[in-house]
Amino acid sequence: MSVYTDLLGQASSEFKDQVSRQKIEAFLKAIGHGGSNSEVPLIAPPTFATTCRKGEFELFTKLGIPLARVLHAEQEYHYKTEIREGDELRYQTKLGHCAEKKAPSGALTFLRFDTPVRIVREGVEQVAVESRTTIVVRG
Amino acid sequence: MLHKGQEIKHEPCSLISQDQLKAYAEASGDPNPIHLDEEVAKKHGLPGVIAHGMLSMAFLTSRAQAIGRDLGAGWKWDTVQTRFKNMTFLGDQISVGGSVRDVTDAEITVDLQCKNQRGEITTTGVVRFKPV
Repeated sequence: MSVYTDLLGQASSEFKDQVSRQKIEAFLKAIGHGGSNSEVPLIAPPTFATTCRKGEFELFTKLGIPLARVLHAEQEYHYKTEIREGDELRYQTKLGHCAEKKAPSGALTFLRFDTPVRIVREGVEQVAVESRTTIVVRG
Repeated sequence: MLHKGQEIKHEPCSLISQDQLKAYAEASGDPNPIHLDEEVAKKHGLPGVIAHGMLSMAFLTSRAQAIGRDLGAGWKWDTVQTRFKNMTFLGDQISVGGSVRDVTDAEITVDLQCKNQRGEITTTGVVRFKPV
C-alpha cells in the first residue's frame, strides 16, 4: 500500500504539441547529434517521446510531489511508428502503478506513469509510442 | 547479421557538461532543477547536479539505432526498456556497449549498458527488434 494507491488511474489533462523541424534539431543537438540534417521529413530520435511528459509533471503537482525529490528509475517505449517533422502529438498521462520500498535512506515510493503518445498525420490519428515511466520519490 | 553472444564494443559518447544538460533540459522540456542547479541538488541530498536519465537513454538508443541500420530494412524497432541504476554527474564520460542476447526469426534482443569512466554501469537497456 502507498499513500498514492487511492490515486491509481488519475489522469492528467490532454496535451497537444506540434513537432517542428527546429524541435527535432534542438533535441538531436542536445543528445550530441549536432550537424546538418538533410533528411526530409526529419525523423525524431527514439527518445523524442520524452518531450511528452507534461501530463506527468502536472500529476506531480496534483499529487503534491516536489519535482526535486523525483528520480527517473525506469523507462520503456513500445514503438508502433516513428514520430516525424510535421506530426501533431496528442497525449494524456495516467498513474498506472505505485509501490513502496524501504531503503536505508528511508521510504522510497515508486510510481509508474503510462502515456500512449498519439500522432496526427494528414488527418489520421494513430498511436506512435506507448511510454511507461517509473519514477522514484525519495523520502 | 548479428549472432547470439556477439559483443558490442563500448564506444564513448559526449562528455557530460553543464551546457549539454541545459540544452537537454530545454529540448526535452524536463524542468527538474536537480539537473541544473547545484544548490537545489545538494539541498535534496544529492552530491551535486546529476544528468537526466533520459540523456543516457538517448546515448543508448543512438547505439541501438546504428545496430538497427546494420540489420537493414527487414527489421524494425519494437521495444526499448531501460533502468537507471547509478547517477551520472557533470564531467562523466559515458560509453555504450553490450552484447546480443538472442537472435531468432521472430526477434533480435540486444543488451546494452552505459558505463562511466570508473567502469560503473549507470544504465542498462534491452532493445528488441522484430521483422517488418
